[in-house]
Amino acid sequence: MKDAIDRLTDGLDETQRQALGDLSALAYLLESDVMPDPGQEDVARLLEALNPYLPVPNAPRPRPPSSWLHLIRSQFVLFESSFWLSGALVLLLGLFITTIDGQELLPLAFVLLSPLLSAAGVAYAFRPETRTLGELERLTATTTAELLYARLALVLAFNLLIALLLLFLIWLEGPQVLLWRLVLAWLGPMLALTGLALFTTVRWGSLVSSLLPFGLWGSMVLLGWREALLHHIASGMTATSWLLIEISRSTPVLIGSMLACLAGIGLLILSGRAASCERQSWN
Amino acid sequence: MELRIQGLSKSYGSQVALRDVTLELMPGTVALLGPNGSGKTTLLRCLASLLKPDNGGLWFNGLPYTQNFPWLRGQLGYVPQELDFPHNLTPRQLLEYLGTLKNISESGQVDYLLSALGLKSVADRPFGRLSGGQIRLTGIAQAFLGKPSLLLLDELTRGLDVEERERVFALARKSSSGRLIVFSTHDPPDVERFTEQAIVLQQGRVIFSGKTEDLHHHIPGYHF
Repeated sequence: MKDAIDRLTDGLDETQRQALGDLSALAYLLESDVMPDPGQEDVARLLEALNPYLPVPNAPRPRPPSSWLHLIRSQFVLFESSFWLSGALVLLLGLFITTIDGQELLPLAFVLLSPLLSAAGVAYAFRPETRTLGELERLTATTTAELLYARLALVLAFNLLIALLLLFLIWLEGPQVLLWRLVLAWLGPMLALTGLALFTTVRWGSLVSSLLPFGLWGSMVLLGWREALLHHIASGMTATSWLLIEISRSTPVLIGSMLACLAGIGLLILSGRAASCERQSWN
Repeated sequence: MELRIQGLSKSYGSQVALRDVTLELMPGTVALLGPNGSGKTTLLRCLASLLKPDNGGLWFNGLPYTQNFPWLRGQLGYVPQELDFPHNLTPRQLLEYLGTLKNISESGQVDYLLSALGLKSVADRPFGRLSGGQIRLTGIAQAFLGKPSLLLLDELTRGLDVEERERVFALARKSSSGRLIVFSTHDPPDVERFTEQAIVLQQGRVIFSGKTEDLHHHIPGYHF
């Protein structure tokens, strides 16, 4: 006990010690008190308290929905007026076609042009002059995948707006095709081509993303048109009428459109992953 | 704020860009010197986590790069050697855009940087109509956004006239307290006026690291 009191009054002179009075009760209390080892809960509480001061781990935190809107809005500045004008031109082209033979040509133009517009939008959004900016974006708190999807959302939203207006025109003309089949025949290639453009942009850059989707779509259109012409010769039906009937009735076209939708969604997801992997490959 | 580089190596195919670079850098301003192709840009890109080294490790403030990317990104400011921004963007739009991505809530930073670098009069002019020097100044301004603790500036004064250099150095001096600024340059006068520490690379190797005043003792040809 004496040792404990000595430790408590270490460094004090005699007068100071006397002023403190009898410390034996306090010394006994301190001696008998055993500090318990921290349990798992105590450790967890301590870590939680330290958490704000520790570096953020590598796994990115999910972005809250409200900040997605903010991020998408921030991408507007990267798009020149020529981008919005090109969409308006497609709409004007649609209007022009309705004056020629809207009932047959407009649905076909809609299915043929819309995917191209979307793929072109992706190629434009990631054009070579955004490369320096892309590097600087990689050094911000926003992940590459988030930026990829935010920019894509803007392209798709614009494309969707034009598509809805064209669909309205088709509906006004008195549709020769089932609208939902037409929408599917548009959505499938549009998503597949957009996904392909985005994936090739992430993996191989803007040149490949400009050439591959357009080359692929061009070949498919030419093959479809060849088929239509052959039927036109055999049955006497116009090539455009035959293609519209195919869109409305053909099961392979329906299944193909659905598969294209799935492939497109898959490619979009893969693009996001590829972008994240590229960023994290440093590890 | 210390940066530790341990045994860093990087090759592009058969061409070796960095060979076993080991350095320890403390807060302050460090000039990175060396002839073209000596590995300056490769080193800065590795430090900016834009390039993955083949071997070696990097630690900032005692924490390894490999495990702390999101945190590290918040500490970094970087100016690439080549700057090519979308031609429709203006300096103000670029700074505001990157500020949004960096989650910078403090208002006034953009205006302060534009003003400090003399870009106020061209802040709303598209990059397509700006001079090379004005584009570089904007590139430098964006690196200072968010007050990063590690600034990596590749060819800091390339294409800048005397007045523009003065503004850049004044901003860097004001911001250097408690930070580490590493900049590459080909201009010895910049080193003399701006920093007391220098690193010299040659064929991917560090051939000098120390005080600039000692540089000419070790490497003939570097006189200030």
